[in-house]
Amino acid sequence: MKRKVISVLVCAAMLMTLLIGCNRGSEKTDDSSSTDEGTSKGDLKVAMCMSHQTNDFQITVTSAAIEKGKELGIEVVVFDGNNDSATQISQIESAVDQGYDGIIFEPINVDAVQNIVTYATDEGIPVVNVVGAMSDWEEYVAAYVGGDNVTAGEMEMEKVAELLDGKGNIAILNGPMGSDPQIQRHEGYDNILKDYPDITVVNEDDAEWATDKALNIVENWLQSGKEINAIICQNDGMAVGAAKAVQDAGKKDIIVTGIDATSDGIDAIESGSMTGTVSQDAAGQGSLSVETMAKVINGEKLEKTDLRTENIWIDESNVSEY
Amino acid sequence: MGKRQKLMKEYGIVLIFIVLVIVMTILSPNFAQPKNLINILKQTSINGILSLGMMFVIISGGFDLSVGSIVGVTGVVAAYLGMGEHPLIVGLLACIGLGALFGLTNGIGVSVGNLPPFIMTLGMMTGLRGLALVISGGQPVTGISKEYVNISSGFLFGVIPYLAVYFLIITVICAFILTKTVYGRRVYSCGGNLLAARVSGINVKAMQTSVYMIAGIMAGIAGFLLTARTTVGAPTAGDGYEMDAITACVIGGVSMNGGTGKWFGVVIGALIISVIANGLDILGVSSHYQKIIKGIIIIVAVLADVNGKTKKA
Repeated sequence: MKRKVISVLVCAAMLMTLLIGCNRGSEKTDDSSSTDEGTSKGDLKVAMCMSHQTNDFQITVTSAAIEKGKELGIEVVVFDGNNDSATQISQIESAVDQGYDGIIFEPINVDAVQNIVTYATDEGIPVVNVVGAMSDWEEYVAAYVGGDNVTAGEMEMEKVAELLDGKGNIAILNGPMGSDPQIQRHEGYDNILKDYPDITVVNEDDAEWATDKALNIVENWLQSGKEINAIICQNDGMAVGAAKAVQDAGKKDIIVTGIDATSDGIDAIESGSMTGTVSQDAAGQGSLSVETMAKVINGEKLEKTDLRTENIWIDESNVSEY
Repeated sequence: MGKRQKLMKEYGIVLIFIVLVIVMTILSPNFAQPKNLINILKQTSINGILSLGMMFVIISGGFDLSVGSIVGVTGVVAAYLGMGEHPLIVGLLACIGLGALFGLTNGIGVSVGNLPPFIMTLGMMTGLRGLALVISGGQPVTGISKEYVNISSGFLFGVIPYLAVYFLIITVICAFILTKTVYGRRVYSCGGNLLAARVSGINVKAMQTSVYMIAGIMAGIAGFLLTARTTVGAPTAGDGYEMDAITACVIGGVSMNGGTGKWFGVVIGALIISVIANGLDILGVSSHYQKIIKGIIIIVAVLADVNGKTKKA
């Protein structure tokens, strides 16, 4: 009886997947007949394989990419790699086999994707990296469009050093240790800290990009008796948590900074609980990657293959523009 | 001799807690500052509420992996409803309602569908996390009202954090239900021996469904509070919280086989988890080491429980 129920459920799930798939197909043809700008039958289809789609930064990148695609007559289909390298490799493989005209992707593991990218380019499908670059990307992909995590980290730490007049106690909240953004942003921090011997790192921990973890950790640090003048967070998600803990403890002159300029960070800067953040122009990365892919598909020669978006420091002085 | 052993088993956890607090105080005098102790209460509240809900499920012989995801979904809904357009009670009721609904689904799957609790709640855990991401569009929901934030940052009489007050109220209610009502006794019976319970006239299906609803409601409340505490409704919130809830129950002496466990054990279990995290954070120990320590404690706690059982036999 149980086995029957399970097999019925599995069949239902498969049927649903089929129906959804067919539905998407028919939706596409509806779109192409009703809109006149750009989209038409024989539309270019580009796969966008991201590491995950569970935060503001990621969503901003892909939304901008999809918008840009509509402008240029390209249908951008987003895939969520769930932060798992094997999943991403499968997705890229499927994209090749399903005949996508181009693949834009953000490598989850910079050393795991060499083979699959070679497979794609051998099949004549151009590949572009976005947000992060695979190792030796120059030899594998047509271009890299992204922010520079190292310079973002440098900008954040430099601003804090300025605000502290070159001396004080700081605490650092990292993303998941060993992840590429974490490593690169920390490299940026270290590059700047070299020149400021009077700034001491008194606390450092891994808050896994999460607001609630950051909140608990900072809440406890503030009770440790050590004086902390600034809390530098590797992303806005954690910075928002740190800022809340600082507010709750009544220590409003502690500087709190983040990176990414996501909506929660912007809100916190507007309300005054957070000092500043570094925008890596997520939207710019998304749309530029599609623009670049369009050029490559059309056979245009790119003047530059290494395209970095600008880092912008956002604090109370310019937050209203965001 | 037997009586002393029995006392140790029942109240040993309190002793361990006191020893832990003393050790932490010695290692860092800042630990025992009133402000820090208040922080510990705040930090325990949300896991504590979740653990009390989990307690009902485990004592009844079940298991619930989905509470973390319920926290995520309800937290997102609460954020949408908590921007000042509706009275706060609307958000709270929505969270309780959704929690009850998800719990009901779990309960029906287990009692009527005869699915193993692990599998049913595993499916719900995965599905609900997806639901949270869909509802929120993958991003944290920001812009909740100051009034809503104040629910978790405020203090009663200026000293006792509201979060701790909610935890206390829920503890009293749960303790009463579990120890002083017929329903509570039946929860233990189902966990002790499901067949015997059914044979003695207890509507086992209703019992099973109801405990999952309780866990779901607790998770909904926790989601409501977590959004206030972090000021954002993140779809990824609550990730892994089911593990801490189970840990609190395990440390507190609730047997994974069901049928035994005391409410104050669960409360102390939750406090122990917070005390360890808080103390180690103050000492500057990385959260990576904390995970190792938590793991060791879980294993030791279960060993003690298993050994206790075989000795009884």
